[in-house]
Amino acid sequence: MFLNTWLLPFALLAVTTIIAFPLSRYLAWVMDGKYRAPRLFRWCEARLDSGPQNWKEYTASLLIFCTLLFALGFAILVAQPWMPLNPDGKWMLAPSTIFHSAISFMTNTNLQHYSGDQHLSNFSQIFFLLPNMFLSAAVGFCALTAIVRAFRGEKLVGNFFVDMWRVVVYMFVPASFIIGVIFLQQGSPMTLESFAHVSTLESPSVQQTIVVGPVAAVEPIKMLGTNGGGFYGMNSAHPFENPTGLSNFLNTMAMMLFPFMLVLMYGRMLGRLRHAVVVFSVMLLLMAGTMVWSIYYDTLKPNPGFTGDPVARTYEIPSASAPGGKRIVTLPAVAGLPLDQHLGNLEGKEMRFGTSAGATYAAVTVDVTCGAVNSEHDSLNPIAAISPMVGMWLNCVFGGKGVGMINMLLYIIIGIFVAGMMVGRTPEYLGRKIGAREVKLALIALLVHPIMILGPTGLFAATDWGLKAVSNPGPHGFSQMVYQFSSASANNGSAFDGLGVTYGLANNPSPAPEAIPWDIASGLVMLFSRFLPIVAPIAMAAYLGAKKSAPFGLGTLRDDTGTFGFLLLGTILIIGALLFLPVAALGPLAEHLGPIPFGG
Amino acid sequence: MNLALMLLLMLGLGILAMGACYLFLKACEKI
Repeated sequence: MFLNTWLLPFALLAVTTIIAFPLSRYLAWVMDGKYRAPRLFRWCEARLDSGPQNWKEYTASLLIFCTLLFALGFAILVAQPWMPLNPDGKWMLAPSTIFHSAISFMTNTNLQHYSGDQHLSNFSQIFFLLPNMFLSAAVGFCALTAIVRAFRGEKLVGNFFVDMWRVVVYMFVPASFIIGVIFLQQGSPMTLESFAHVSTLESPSVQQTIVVGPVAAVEPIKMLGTNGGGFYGMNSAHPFENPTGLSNFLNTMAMMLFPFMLVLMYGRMLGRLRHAVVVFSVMLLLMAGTMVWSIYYDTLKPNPGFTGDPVARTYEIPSASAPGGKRIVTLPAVAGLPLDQHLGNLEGKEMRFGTSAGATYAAVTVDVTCGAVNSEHDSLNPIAAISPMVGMWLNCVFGGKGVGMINMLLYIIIGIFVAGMMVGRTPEYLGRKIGAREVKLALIALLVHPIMILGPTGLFAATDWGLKAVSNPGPHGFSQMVYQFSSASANNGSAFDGLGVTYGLANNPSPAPEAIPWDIASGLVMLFSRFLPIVAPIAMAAYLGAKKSAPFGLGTLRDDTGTFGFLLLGTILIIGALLFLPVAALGPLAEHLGPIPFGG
Repeated sequence: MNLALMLLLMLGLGILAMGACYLFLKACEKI
């Protein structure tokens, strides 16, 4: 039992770390342009190379490119009814859902207010999902590369389009091909057919129609690019997306790989690998903590819904949206059932991967802001659900490709600034003095995330937009709303699926009543939380990099020691707790400590 | 609301939001 529970999470951490060290050398080698590409690739690079750019031009190129990516994704989804590979004539998604989906995939979030197997044709799956998954993942990678070059004191931080080419062609495509072949061998479908018509085991005369498509092509970049948007609504719990225990291990490792490597690439490109290893260790400690928390409270604890009252109870729950301001909830008696809960909370889990696979995946997918799921997060034990929420709130436990390390840089700057103030010395990072301008930019970028989570959550919790969308009126309903905006702001993409946010196709006669405000609000949160914390840190790095570098002195706070690691860890935990402990208390903690299972 | 109008509105809102991010870049240059 002990080995069954803990082998998977710690094997994942160990194997990914061991692989990340040598492969990060390849990443740095490519991004520093030290390779000699084949002639055809050199020709393509020359066409893309519009010349070296300063940080303003690089960032403007990034924003313009993403605007075009949004418009292209929008157009493809609008055109769905008239495009090929749509044998059952699916109509287009609702306009607000197209807006939400185009932003979601362009920002590397992949929060889906639709179900791929029900609402998208294979044309849309190929031409909307795949390009967005490769390109949006590369954008964060390029942003971090620009920051590294700025820190090195380079006035020209490279060319955005050449960097995008390098990331996609020399990293994502070969890695996706290797993983894709393995998934194909494990049983993922790879076809342009939309349906498979099969006879069931029950009776050869009974026909069943199963949705199929180019799943083995989508799955690798879904994980490697920490995209997380599934071909199927069930995501990685679906046996076609994640057929076996081996594919589940690879699936989880694939989403950890690039975030792990990018932290080390940062150190290699700066010539400060020891500093990167300290940062990497802090992230590894936080990731292990979130894994242990979710496994301990979900895999090793029973489902509280089955340990409640031995008789049926009726509760009156205050509810602004219910007639008379009260909702009557009757809970069935379930405690008397002869349930064996020694394997923990099994609701919403894929047992074929093992009991701890769901809780492990839940922690990893939010830490690296992937958002793919192989279990139902809404069914996690209330206190276990704090783990994925913390991963999204901190947003720097490896994080998305590039942006996770960028978020960690903000904590590093704030931590060094506070430490400098405490000992009365001018704070320095990489030998350069941190001034008011750098701290302002770091704080602006850092505060975008909590503002984008807490503001909309408060608005929706106080109005029918939120109250009519939640499936539970109590603390669990509040958790659903917090989770949705946390996922959108962290560019994560997982969700508590009890929230009614799906409009469906534009001709759907009975959409979720509050789908449109959720589409628009989540879309805007994803967009601003993606780009503002990219733009400000690039500016900060450019200003800091332009300063004169001084050698280490006796009074310098060294950034490659265990002491610095503890300073960084303390900064992250204190800022995270100050910002988000109140909402944790109102949501999952209140649900865990409250008298009513699942908040009513 | 008319479907085409709603689509245009949503496309415009997305581009407008990206424009706001560009203005944020301009503001960062002045900090």
